[in-house]
Amino acid sequence: MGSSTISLGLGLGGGKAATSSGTSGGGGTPFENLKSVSFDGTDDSMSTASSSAFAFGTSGFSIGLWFNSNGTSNTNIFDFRSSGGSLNVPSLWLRTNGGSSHIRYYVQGNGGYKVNCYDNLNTGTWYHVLIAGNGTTTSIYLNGNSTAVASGSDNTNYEAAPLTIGKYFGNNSYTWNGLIDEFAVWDACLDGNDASAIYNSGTPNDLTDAGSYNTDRTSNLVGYWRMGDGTEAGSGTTIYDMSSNSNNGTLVNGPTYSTTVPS
Amino acid sequence: MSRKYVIINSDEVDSVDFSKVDETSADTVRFSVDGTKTFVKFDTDTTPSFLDGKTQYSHSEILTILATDEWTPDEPPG
Repeated sequence: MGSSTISLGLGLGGGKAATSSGTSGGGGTPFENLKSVSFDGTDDSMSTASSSAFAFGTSGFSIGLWFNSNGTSNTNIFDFRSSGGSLNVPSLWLRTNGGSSHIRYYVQGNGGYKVNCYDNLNTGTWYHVLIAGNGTTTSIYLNGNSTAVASGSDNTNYEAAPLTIGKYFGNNSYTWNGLIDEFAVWDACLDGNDASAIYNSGTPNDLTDAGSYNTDRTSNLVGYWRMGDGTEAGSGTTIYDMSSNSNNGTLVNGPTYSTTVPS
Repeated sequence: MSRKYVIINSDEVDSVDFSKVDETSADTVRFSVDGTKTFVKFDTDTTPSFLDGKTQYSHSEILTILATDEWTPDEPPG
């Protein structure tokens, strides 16, 4: 299966570097986002066990997160690979080219990259990315833009895998230098209106709350790591999966909690 | 106290007390491309005794080292 790219050259600047909290959701404990996780770009990572919840097959899936990079080298943001084989699993990279950075969605087991998003990204700036696939096309939404900034053909039959945030499994290299927050996985293809609702003008909202979506996707939420604001409450090496799957993550090699969050 | 990084030979991993460094275990350390070197980091004011006499690097210094071909393959697999 081939792949294709679209470059729209959008100037992005909507992200902010700030320390604050947001609130949303209805009832119960007020939703707060006070923490993110800082990866030092040397060998830090977070990993979960392999989960059948990530075996999307050729059905819909979505992966969303906030990221804020400190560096401009080629680095891995997340990777579901656990070996060098041709696994049908997702990965997301920050790639550099001539001093500028862009993101690439890559599936090693099905012909390589699927989507390159050539928008120039800045260091020290929060971005929200939502990757959404429907079995034939995978699209990237950035910072709540309801129109995908890039799309590519993708008929990958996605298989069960562990999730690693912050590094490529091989040799622990291409390690992420920066912050990650509010990492979520759905077993449905979310759309641009959902991307806008989740972005929420740059302030993360409660993804277990139906009101945080254009269409209620809470029943499709199969992984939700709040990166410091879950049950872990900014302490310890377990990042709790706040979806119903309880596929908790483990911080490896000393990532730290940060109070710099999207707002 | 800022975090310090120390490069060691891979065959010295067995001498590392992982309760005194930030790395989780011998199974999670990062190796150089040829596998002969690794590194550990620590945040304490006191250097762990098994790292005495070895060169300590700052965060920016170790990032520069890790960006070389010795530690990072040329073409990312993604």
